[in-house]
Amino acid sequence: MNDKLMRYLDGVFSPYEDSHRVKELKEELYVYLQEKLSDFKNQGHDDETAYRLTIDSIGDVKEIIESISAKTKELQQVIRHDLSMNNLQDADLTGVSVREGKFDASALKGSDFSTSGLSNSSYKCSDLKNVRFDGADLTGATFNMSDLENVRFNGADLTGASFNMSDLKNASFDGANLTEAKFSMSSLGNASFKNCILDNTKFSVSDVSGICFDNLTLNNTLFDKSSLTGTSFRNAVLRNVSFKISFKTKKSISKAIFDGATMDKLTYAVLKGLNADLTNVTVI
Amino acid sequence: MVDNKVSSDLLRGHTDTMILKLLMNGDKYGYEISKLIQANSKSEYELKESTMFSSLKRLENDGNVTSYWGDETQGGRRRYYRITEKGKGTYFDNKKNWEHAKRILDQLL
Repeated sequence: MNDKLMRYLDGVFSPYEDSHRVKELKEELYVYLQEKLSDFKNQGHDDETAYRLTIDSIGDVKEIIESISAKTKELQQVIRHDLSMNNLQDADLTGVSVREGKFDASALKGSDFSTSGLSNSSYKCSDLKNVRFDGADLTGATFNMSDLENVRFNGADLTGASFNMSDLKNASFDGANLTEAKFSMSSLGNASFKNCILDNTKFSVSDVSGICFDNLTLNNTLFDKSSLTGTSFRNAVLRNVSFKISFKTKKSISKAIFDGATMDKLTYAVLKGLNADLTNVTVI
Repeated sequence: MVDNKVSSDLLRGHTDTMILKLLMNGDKYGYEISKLIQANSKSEYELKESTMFSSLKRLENDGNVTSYWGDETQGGRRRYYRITEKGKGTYFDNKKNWEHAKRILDQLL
């Protein structure tokens, strides 16, 4: 019966095993439960019933572990998982916390990371096709050379996140916070940016052709050597938006749509110099 | 047993003080504390382990109690808790605050 108690505690403590204080708590609880179990047996309960009563009475053990976790640095480390080279296809990881987690070269196709805490996590050469990151905390996350086709980042916090050389075809960033986020050398064909925050967001050497930024407010957003054919800014507000156009992308800007947009004088002047079509634009 | 959620919440809010009071009369280990609380309340209140251990760890973090391993030779070691001078001060403050609140509630209810 005591072995059974130990196995029960092993299971409960398995995510926390690394810390000394947690080990001590486990030992303390083990002795506690043994005494409780033997009391139940002395009251005339058989082994199985005594075990069940003991386990049932313990309440939420996680609450106890978490009461010591707040000040224990060691505990923080166990969540800095290295999940590189793992196959987590179609996994349900909603609400998990893997801060500074590494998902390099992982197959995460179809996984669900909705509302997860993934700040500063990294994804390198990973297959993230169809993954859901809705509402997740991805501040400072890095996505390098990853396949992000059809990925959903709706409502996610992507402050300071970076996307390098990644394929973001049909990705959805609706309602996401992309403050200070960087997209470089990425392909964004058909990605959706409805109601998202694009303050200080950088699009460098990325293909934003056909992307719709309608009705958005763009503050200090940078389009550096980006291809803008058919990119639409209808009724958008552009403040200090910078378009650094290379020889290759220069022609594309005349095919961008600014119908009904509002912009500051400088942005207007720069766009005018680049032969953008600025009919129906309001200058503020 | 206290079935009423409100009274059990009210009692749980005083877990720290209940434990400190027991430790005023000498060092105790977890199971002992839990049994004493059940006995002293004539089985009207049973402290849940999660509440008790969270409270003990909090009291320890705040320097109100210290803990040490017992030297039991058979079976596992028990972890004993000892009240500190700070803990005694906390107990008397909490007790005084409770008397004060109780007086006001008695007038109001």
